[in-house]
Amino acid sequence: MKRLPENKSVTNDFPNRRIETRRGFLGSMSCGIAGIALTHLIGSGSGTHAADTSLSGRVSFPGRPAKAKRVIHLFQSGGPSQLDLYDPKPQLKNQHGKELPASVRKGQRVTTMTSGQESFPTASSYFDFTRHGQSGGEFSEAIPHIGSIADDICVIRSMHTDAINHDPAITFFQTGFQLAGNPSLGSWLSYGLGTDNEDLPAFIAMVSHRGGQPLYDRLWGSGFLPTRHQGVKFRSQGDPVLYLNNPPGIDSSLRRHMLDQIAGLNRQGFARDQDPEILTRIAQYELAFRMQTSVPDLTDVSGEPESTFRLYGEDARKPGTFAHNCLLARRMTERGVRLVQLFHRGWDHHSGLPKNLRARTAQTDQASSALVLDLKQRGLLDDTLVIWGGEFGRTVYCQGKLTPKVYGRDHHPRCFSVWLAGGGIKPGMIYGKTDDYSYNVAENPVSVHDLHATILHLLGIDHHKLTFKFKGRHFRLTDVEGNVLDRILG
Amino acid sequence: MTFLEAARHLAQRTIVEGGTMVGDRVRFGFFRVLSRNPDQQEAHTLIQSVKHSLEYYRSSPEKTASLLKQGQSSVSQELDPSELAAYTVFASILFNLDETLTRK
Repeated sequence: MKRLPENKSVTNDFPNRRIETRRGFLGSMSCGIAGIALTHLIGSGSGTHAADTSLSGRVSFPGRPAKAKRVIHLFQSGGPSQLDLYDPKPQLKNQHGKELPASVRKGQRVTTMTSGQESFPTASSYFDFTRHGQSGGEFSEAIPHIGSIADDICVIRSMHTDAINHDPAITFFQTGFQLAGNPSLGSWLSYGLGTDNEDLPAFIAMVSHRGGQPLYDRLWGSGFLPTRHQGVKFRSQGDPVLYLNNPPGIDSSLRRHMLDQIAGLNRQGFARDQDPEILTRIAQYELAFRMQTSVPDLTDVSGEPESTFRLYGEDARKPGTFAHNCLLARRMTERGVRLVQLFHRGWDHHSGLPKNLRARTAQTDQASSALVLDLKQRGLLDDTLVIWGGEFGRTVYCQGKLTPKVYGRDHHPRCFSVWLAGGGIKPGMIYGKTDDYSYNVAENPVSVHDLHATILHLLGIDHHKLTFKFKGRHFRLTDVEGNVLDRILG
Repeated sequence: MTFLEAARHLAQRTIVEGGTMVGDRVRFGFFRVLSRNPDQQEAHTLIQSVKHSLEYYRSSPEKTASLLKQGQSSVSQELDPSELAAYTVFASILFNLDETLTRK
């Protein structure tokens, strides 16, 4: 473990690097923590594979002990309804069908999907809520398994976001900015903390459920950080990583020979034009070589005992399901992957919400709670932070047809719920409050920047200090905002 | 697979059109892919590599056969299979260089 001098902030100002090409210029700024690894890389140019191992350079942040070493983010893409899952408003039963009071909406913008509606009738939840555990948190009947771990998790009911549509909202949640082009959380973590397993990527993304809002590879992209920090997406069917096997007629000794020749020639190229992206390529080829062994070992769940599948559910046997991805997430976590991000699509319930919500919870409820329980029984929950939630919430007013059993809800950025577990989070807690309509935050608002600041804090990182100079300023995951939520820390 | 097949075809051209000496062939293939001549060190690396691969495939006709079987296009019967396999590996190395894949 390398240590920074106390007086040095973690930035990428390395003044004496050569600037020749545009890429070289951009690349010359790619230093900082990664830059420390980079200097090792450059220094080790003559060795055959020395380039590879130095990428792990984890740097500690002075005086900031990390509670969490790694993160699993169970991203529920589309915007799960807080009103039907985590934020009960039983008194709204009496308001069902009645117009949402103007004093609640306060003229705030709505999306063009409902702005043309003649009325905004209140839709109370079809679901009953019950109290769970010693902590007595209330959870919807649609998520009994998550309810059963009430004492292990902290539900934040007062999240809010700036964006009202999917793409900017997901981009904001992933990168701290609504516009594309900034590094995602996992890339910042890879950049700031390095990897604990040189045989796997530090940041892995997996997608489940066909249909729903599209997701793009840039959501786990590294933005302006060196590209070695981008997330690697594992495919949901067939080979998790394409072209990982050697073709017939090339065995691993010849593959090794080829990679050595390629690396040698690429290093000559680097000596010529100083483009640090060449070093990334060398390192990624080496990582791919090691992944030829590590990935099959990671993804082969045939050795898991029956108890695993009882815990996660039978779905966990089927590649491509959320449950299977949760199981893989646990296996990745055991192997030291820094951030595993699962994206489950299909939470965008503009219509037929009760039925559609049930379909999603049937796919996610048991496995989400199983993951927390499994990490706990393996002693991993203490230093693994689990996050569950989407990019925004849903409106209390109905979109489209309204009956007691049928209603839809539009996008709602002003309040939504997420939950966190492990990694230094106070368990068995409900944090924040919404108003009577779950429309505005009433108490303890939590912005996306606040959540990001808290995540970094738990990982031992001061969110003000983890920066990267780009376009003349020091960019952060939290932009110029973000307050650590001290009250949810254990 | 397409990549591998393309490598085999570049290998074929390299053997047929690139002269008879390893050094000439290496320069021929290199120029086809990168539009420049290799410097001395690059040429040396690649010549040694071709020799290594040639030895590898000469000692294993099965590996040679299974490599050349990949892809849909037909394989020239007039060429020495182990030589074709060795230059296929050579072409694959060229295709995977940073300079080949990155436009500067």
